[in-house]
Amino acid sequence: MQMVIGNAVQVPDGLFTPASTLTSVLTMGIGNEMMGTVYSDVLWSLALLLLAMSFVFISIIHFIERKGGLNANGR
Amino acid sequence: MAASVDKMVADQGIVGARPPQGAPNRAQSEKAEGALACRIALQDTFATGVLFAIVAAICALLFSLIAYIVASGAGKLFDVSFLTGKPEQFKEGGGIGPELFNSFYLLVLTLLISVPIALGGAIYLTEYAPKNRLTHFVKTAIEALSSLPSIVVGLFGFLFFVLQMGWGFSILSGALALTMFNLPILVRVIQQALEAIPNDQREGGLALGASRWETTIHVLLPAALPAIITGIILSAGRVFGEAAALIYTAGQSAPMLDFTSFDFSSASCPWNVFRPAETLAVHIWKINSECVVPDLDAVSSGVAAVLMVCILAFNLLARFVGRLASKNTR
Repeated sequence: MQMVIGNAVQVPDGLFTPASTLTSVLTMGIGNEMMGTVYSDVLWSLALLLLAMSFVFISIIHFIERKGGLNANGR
Repeated sequence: MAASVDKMVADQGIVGARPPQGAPNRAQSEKAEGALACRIALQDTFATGVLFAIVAAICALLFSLIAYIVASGAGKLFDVSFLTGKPEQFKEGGGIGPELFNSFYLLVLTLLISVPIALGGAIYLTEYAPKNRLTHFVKTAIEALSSLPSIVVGLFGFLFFVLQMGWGFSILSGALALTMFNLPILVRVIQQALEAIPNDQREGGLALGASRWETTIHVLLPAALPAIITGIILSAGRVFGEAAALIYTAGQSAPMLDFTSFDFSSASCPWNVFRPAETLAVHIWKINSECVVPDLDAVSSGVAAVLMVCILAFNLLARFVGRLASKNTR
């Protein structure tokens, strides 16, 4: 993804404007900053955000699965 | 009331609809039925055609991708000096020798670490675990581990294995980060293989006086072995192409390897697990992001072609071994 999306630091206003994803910003930035600076802390916060997002999606899927199971198996 | 229901049913073309009430002659009702059957057959053909077109499009996409990559990298793919040479950062003619070895070495190490753990975990979850909240929690945790983004796993490996444990960028850090990736896939595959064995085998083993452990080792595992081996080879294919988890654990530098040295503490000994090791996928990323070699396109396409060929070989090997092993157990 990093090689095709353009990695421009802007909010995209259409389908054809370059943008950057969380993962590509992380991959490019971690190697360039020293631990302890503000920019480095920001990058680690981005990683935490990614982790939180994937947990949210997993819980949503589990919730849907459990609801579906209850309805399918009867009372 | 009945007439309106009949009209509704006839309008929607439901199979087996009664001809409209009050149709006096037989020829008219037969023509209505014939038209209905014709419309249904047409819908069926149209739907089949659309599904076939979708599948054809997917196959065409896959084949064109493989063909494009292999064709553009074909010049370097069969060049022995490319496959065993030293990578270059500024000059032409770089090779991928160390990276190729590192990829396979890392793969073997990862499998050595993850297969026993996954086997133990899957056997426990299938045979021994009671159906309570703890088991449900463990299963959810394994699923959560498998859907983490790979860069997050790599960053955790960076913080823990590289910095905290002090190993630096090393093969061991990379192998442990890939194990975290590989475990959920393997556990799921082995679990499915074990659950597919009918319960008669377990009851037969227990009836013969064997303990549950002996039944598992001597009866169930050999029966599930083809599926397990296929799953291991497929997960190896996935691990082989992993880049994001390895960029910050195994590093982006590949010291030139001296295969005659057995000094385990030097960075040029190939078997030293504490040296940085760049793999094929990481090399593609690195040369496209940071290198300024003149023949960038050729080298990049060559590495991509090698990677693609290796992964295809893994997939074919998995099918071949699976078919062979299941033939032998019959």
